[in-house]
Amino acid sequence: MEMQYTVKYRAVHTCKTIVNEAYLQHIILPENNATQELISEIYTVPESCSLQKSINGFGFNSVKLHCKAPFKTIVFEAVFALKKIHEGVQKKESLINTSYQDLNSLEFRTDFETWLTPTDHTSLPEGCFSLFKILETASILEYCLALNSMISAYITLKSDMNPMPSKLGNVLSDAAGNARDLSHVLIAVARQNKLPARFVSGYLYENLKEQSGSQLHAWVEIYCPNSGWLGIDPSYNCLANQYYIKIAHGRDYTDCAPVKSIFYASGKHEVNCIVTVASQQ
Amino acid sequence: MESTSLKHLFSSYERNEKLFDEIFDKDNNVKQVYQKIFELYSGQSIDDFINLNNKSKSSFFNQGITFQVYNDDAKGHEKIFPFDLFPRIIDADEWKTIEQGVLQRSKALNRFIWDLYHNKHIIKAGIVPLELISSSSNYLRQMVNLDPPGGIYNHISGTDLIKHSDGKYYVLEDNIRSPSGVSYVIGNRNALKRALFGVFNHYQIHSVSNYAENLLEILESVKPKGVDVPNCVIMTPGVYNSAYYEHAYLAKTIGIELVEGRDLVVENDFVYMKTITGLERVDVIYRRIDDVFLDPLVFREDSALGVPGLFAAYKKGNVTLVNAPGTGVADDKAIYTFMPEIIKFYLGETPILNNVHTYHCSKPDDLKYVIENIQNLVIKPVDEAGGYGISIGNKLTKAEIEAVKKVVLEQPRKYIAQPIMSLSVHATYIDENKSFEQRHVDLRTFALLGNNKEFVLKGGLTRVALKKGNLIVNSSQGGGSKDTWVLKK
Amino acid sequence: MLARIANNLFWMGRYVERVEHLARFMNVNYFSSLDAPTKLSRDRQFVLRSISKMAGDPILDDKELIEEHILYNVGLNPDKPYSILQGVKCARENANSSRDLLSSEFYESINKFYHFVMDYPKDYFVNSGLHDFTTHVTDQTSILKGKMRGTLLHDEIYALIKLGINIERATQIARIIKTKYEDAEKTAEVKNKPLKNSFEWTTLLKCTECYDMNRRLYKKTPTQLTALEFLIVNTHCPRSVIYSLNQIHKHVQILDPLKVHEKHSAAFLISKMRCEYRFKTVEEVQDDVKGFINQTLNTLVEIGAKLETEYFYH
Repeated sequence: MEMQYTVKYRAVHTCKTIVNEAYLQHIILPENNATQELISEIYTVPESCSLQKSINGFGFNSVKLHCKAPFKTIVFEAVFALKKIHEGVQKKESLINTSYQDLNSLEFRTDFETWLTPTDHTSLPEGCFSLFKILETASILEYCLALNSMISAYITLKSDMNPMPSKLGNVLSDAAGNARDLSHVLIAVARQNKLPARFVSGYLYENLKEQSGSQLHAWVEIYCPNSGWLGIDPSYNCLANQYYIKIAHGRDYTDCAPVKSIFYASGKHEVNCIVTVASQQ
Repeated sequence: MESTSLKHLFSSYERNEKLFDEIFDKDNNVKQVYQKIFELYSGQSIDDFINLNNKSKSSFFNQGITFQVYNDDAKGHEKIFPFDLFPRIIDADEWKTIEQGVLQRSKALNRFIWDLYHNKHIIKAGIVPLELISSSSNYLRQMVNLDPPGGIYNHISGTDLIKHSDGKYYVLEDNIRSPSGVSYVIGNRNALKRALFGVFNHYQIHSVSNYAENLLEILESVKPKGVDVPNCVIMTPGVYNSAYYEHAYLAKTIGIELVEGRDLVVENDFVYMKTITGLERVDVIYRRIDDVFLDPLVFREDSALGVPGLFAAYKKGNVTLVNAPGTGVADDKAIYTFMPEIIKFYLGETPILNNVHTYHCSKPDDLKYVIENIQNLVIKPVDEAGGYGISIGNKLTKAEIEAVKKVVLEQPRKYIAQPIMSLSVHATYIDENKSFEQRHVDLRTFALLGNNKEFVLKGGLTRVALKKGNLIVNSSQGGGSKDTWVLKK
Repeated sequence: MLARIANNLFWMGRYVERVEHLARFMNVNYFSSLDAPTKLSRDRQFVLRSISKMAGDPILDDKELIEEHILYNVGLNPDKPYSILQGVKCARENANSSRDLLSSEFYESINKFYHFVMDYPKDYFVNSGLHDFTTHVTDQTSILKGKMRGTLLHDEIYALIKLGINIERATQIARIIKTKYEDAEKTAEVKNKPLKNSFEWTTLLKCTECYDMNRRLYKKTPTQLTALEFLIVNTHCPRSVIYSLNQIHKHVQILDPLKVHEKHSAAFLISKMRCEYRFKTVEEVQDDVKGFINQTLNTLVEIGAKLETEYFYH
């Protein structure tokens, strides 16, 4: 099944004092991969800013604004059109046969070192892992699904997006968190269980009648030996499907944060982002 | 006063038989290479020498060959790097071993770092433990599968050597992040030439002034693809950095711009510097700032020293960073202990220079040995530079030993231990006592690695621990230095 | 050349020139007042106010001034941005940041100068070292300028330093004229003597090292007319405003010879000011000395700002 999407991204950067110069890096461009293809991209920026396409530390596309004229507010808009193909069911079935044996080999652990090493945002406090203990399942896929539903059930999804990722200890004690927090928890537990896992930033098409603005979404990819990366979303307890539009992945949120900014100003600055995803199918 | 002025310069020289003296052999005879200079110095009176010493000190001060020391009051103090007028002399054969050994290590390290950021064969072969990179804060995942221009990571390295009581050289560490000190090598040589020009006629000494031109050739050899004549610059954190003198000195002698982060700007993934006539492209950056400060968009967001977008330009191959980001992973003291295996694995050679045996506190057996034998060991944190955090076992009180044990047991991965090596001693003029005395010395060598080019400076920085009996030679801990002569054959 | 470095070289030149004038102003005013002909000119309070004003810290109330404080503030107080010590410190900091471009000889001189000022004993200075200190400072600046001329390539680096020096010189000469003109007005008021023959004109020329040159040219005691003419429009006097303008004009062209054709560029502005000065007579100036000096100072500030935006910031 093929889907056609139009994604609108709007970011409003504001600062309490006048900013003389700023660099704004946005990682918002859908990636081209086996299941999605970017058709067009249109950007709207103030005249005083220069817009350049570049890459982030892991090679994902970024859109950089360099503003040199003094300002207090900058509005940046991007519109993307893309095609998304739904993954075949067949591929999913091959996942079922993967087993745990390969995970312990030194070669595997070495090759996937980047996605197995905990980061500051994907470290669970001691003892928390016992919360998500799952007895051996028949396959890695089953394990992932079971873990995903467990986390999804344990932590209530909140929609607010703090600028900074929450501490996982707090997320677990509150039993509440946003999509980013849930993803961090899933990654932490997966890595602890020797499964390579990475954080994915992207857009989610929510088939609602009234399109109101939402935020960027976050989910997880877990590596299954023999079959590759499996997209999995703890926020909605499902596998990533044709409604999931991937932008980038990283070890955790900070590697693919949608906005990174450097302001040459004394005042505090903040950014408000609104995303709308519409389907033409 | 007459009696002091006639006093022989070495009359009060006390020899400790247990230590390896660079000048005197076991039977108290002056070694052959030192005979000439010893004769010349013996003809001088202490007063002449005091005079010379004061002159050379004020010459360093007036020329501003100084470094900043930051004390508790957060105000920088300017200090000259204490300089000793008695040079250290290394003969041609001895030097040949050092030179070959240092190059061997540089090349092996380069192959090693390449491997760590590509297939990681050495880890898969079980030679270096995976934990060493996965727990290293200097291992940059952003560098994985990235090919640095020319295939070089550690273009510039500084290897610290000591001579043990057995008369053999041992490597203490390989500095491949931003080794400093080369400007002092040249400064020392100039100062000694001014003060004692007569002495130089009696020795055939290799020049040290060719470092700058070789450095430029190395920088040019790793230019990005498609660049004809590269524009090379040196990047400094600024005038308040303790090694600023060296940055300025290198820029001046090479004849290239000395830039700060704020002088650079990235446009469409190319790096430019802001000049009075507009933007000018930069191709090779010899950066003297740490990885984490390079680019606030990729590493530390609060870095005011770096350039937003620099890493993207590097990743796209439009600019060369020297040394490459992520090189520090092999600068770790825990990696040092695997050097003999690393050399064997990549080069199929036996190490030319000795490694000091090292106990890894991360290994349970080693940890046990260390805890039981602290009084005979030197305990070092694996990721501190500048001689900080080092405990020398036989200098500790009982209470201190207990404190060290506790710290090591808390974070064993952070510490290694080595037997207390006896650094060789060299006659050094001690101001307070107005006489020559034995002081411990080490030797920092400077090696350059480029695309089909390599160079080792024929000379080095002999660092002296000026406090009696002290083994720590770092300038930040009250060390001084000597000119180092490498003799021609 | 890096824009930041260009800015630093420019300011190094300005600071060196600034401390020279301040030191000499202090020295000449203080010592010539000791045997001045009028009572007010001899008055220590009057002299101290004049020094403080010249330094950029005018004293507005009538309170009794303590000599040691004023001298310390202007000479060695590290907390006063206008002090000679601060000026030398800034000059050396600017030299530090462009050290790779300067000759070792020049750097060594400025470094020695810095250490001399930093190590100068404060108590000695305020009690009996004024002459020694200020003379040494002016001597050191001469040495620096000699090293500049003799050991630097006369390229854009040199041009930038000279640009700084000459803009600062024109500014300081104008400020000295202004300060001494006001002093002359006050002494004339008290004594009811004509302004044009005031003793302050001699002091003015001495403050700018022009007294001997002026005597040689006019062969009589300086008057308002001869002093102003000499310091403003005499093209052969190396201290005159017009001389500095000619120098500025020459050096800005080395940076970018084509810029002069651009309307409102720094080079354009300098050429325009220079032309106005070339055809100025002292009689025209005399009608409104203060107005003329203020206008000069304003134009110099404008030129400085233009240079900054054109060359130093991108």
